[in-house]
Amino acid sequence: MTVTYEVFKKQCKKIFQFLEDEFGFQIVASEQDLYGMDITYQNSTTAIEIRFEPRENRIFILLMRLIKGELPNYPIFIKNESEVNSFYLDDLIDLKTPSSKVKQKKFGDWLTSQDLENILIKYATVLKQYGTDILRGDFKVFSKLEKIVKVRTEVIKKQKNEE
Amino acid sequence: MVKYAMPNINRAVSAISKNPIGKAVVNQVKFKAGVTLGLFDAAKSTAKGLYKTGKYLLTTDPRQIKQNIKSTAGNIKQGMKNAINNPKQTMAAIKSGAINAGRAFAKADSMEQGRIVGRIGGEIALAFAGTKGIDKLAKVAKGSQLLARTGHAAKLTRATGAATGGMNNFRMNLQLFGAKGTGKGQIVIGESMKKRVIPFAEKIGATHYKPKSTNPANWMKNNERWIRKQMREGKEIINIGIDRNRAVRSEFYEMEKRVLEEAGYPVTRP
Repeated sequence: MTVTYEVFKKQCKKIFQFLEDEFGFQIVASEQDLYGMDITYQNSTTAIEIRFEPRENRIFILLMRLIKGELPNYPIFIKNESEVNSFYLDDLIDLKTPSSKVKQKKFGDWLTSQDLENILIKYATVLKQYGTDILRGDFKVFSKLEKIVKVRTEVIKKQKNEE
Repeated sequence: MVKYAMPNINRAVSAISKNPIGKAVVNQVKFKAGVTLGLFDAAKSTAKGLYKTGKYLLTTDPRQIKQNIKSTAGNIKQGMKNAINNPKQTMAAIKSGAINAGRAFAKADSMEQGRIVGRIGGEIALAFAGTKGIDKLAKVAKGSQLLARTGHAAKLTRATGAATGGMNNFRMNLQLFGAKGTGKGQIVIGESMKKRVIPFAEKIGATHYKPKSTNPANWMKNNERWIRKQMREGKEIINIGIDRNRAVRSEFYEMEKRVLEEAGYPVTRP
């Protein structure tokens, strides 16, 4: 592994400090498992999970709507009738500012500390610029994100057929 | 046929199996020979059965029986295709019997495995080759000890069809199901280990992949080795699919799916 979890944690805290300073978030969890590490920030309405998965060679930023002050369950299966309370920042970017898409490295071209920092900075910038409504507890955009997620299987199938 | 085939096969076996590479070849040769014998068994059994019921063969003349067997065997190829293309019906027919063939198959040598594969394939094929199709298949399933011993034969057929339709895949699936008969449990695959695969596996009492190496060069090959091991052990593989929330696909899950598809291994979708 080219990046240690300690480095990831340190960078996260530095780069996402604005969540604590400007939006009243606090770090409520920091967990490491066999597949990666995540840090969860939470305020009274919203939670943000920043996860690094070395095997997947990716950073995932999950935006969550709290349910009665608690973190929502992550949906194992998303059906058409499911209510989804968590979405990845990538879909928000795709919806609001596709040109700001955060490019991550391909599988096998493993992330370095510098890559990790660059990616985290890009995500933080976009989140601050396009996600303030969510950070302040306004989840109107979630209904649009839900539509994107619910047609994903069909979109993938279509893409595969076109290839 | 058995009488004449065996000495030749035995000679081939002893000649080739003197070196390690040859051993693998021998197993393949034995398996193929076994398939031929199994197909012959199926044809012979069907012809005899028809004779007994007086529906088809009205002679006891061995030459005539031989001729009938030959023509029946000629139908196997087409019938096999039909069986593969009608997995639902095949499944229903096979289920009427059901249980232990997997275990018996797992313990058999290459020749015997081939014979079982040929017999099963042949019986299914002959049933479909007949004009009564599915009705006849049900009768075959009820009457055949071999089919009765294979609760999973229809799944095997479907898997075979999905892959190459070849007897080798058929054999591999039988081996897998044979191992499954020992009841070694379930595993879960899918995207997003922490958020989906692990919670789902824990909920149903199944297991999942647990990476150990910290060396990126080993990550993919270790995962692939693991999924192949699960197949060899005949685990029930439950595929919970992609994480629709994720915009990007997991390379590990894609690899697992590919390996399973290539092997024609049956997968359970919850």
